[in-house]
Amino acid sequence: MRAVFDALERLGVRYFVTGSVAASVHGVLRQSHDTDVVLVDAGRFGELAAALRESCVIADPIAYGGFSMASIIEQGTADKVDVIVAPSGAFEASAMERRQRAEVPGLGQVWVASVEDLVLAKLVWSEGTSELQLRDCAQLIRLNTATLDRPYLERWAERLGVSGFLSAVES
Amino acid sequence: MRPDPGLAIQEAVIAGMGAQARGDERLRLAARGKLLAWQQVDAMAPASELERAEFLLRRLYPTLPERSLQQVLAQLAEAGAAGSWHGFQRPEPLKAR
Repeated sequence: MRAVFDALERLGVRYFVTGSVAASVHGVLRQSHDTDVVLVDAGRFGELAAALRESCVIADPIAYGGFSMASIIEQGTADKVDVIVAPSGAFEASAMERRQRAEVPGLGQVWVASVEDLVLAKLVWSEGTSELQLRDCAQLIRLNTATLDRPYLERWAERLGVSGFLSAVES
Repeated sequence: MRPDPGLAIQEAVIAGMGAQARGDERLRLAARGKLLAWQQVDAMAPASELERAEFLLRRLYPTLPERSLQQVLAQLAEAGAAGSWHGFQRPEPLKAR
């Protein structure tokens, strides 16, 4: 699915990879068939879709509460990228600023969520009940403890209302 | 959270692999899963490439919303009718490690 990232870069659309691919960059291995990408500029999704129309089939974004998600499937390989169009809030702006460039096997050089922002996103998605997400968070924190920006993590956990989940995964 | 015996060992091994090796392993796991999905689809003896595509997408992406799946299938059908899509490419068998 390099075509999606080539199009994002060519169009100058700011994005970062999250989910299991980002988790593998930061130390956790999960089997997954798709790649999750976050954009905050909803207006650019149409440009991305137009750029990929020749090589991919694209399902329109579906709204899920505070965000929407579209699926892009490559016509040749059936590989899928889910594009999460997030609200342009303070957390999303911060996560976009803190994204990191990384070499990801199968994708090449891409922007990836920082470990703190990945943990925070997983805590939010888990709603405190997804054992797999919470286990990933615990593992990501343990594996990255030496470099983790703990004040940032705690500050945003408080603002996002997931401090309780953060305490639970660290206990 | 429920205690998981052996988790510490598993974590240490995975963390020790390094990002490149972990990424390679993620790709290998995905490729293996995809091959299995193709085998399951073949066993269902689909009548057309579009039916094969539907079975395959349902196997690979069980959480893909039905509305999205139907939209994707409609686009594949259109591309098929236009002669620009002839089915998904079958993955290569995995190399022994």
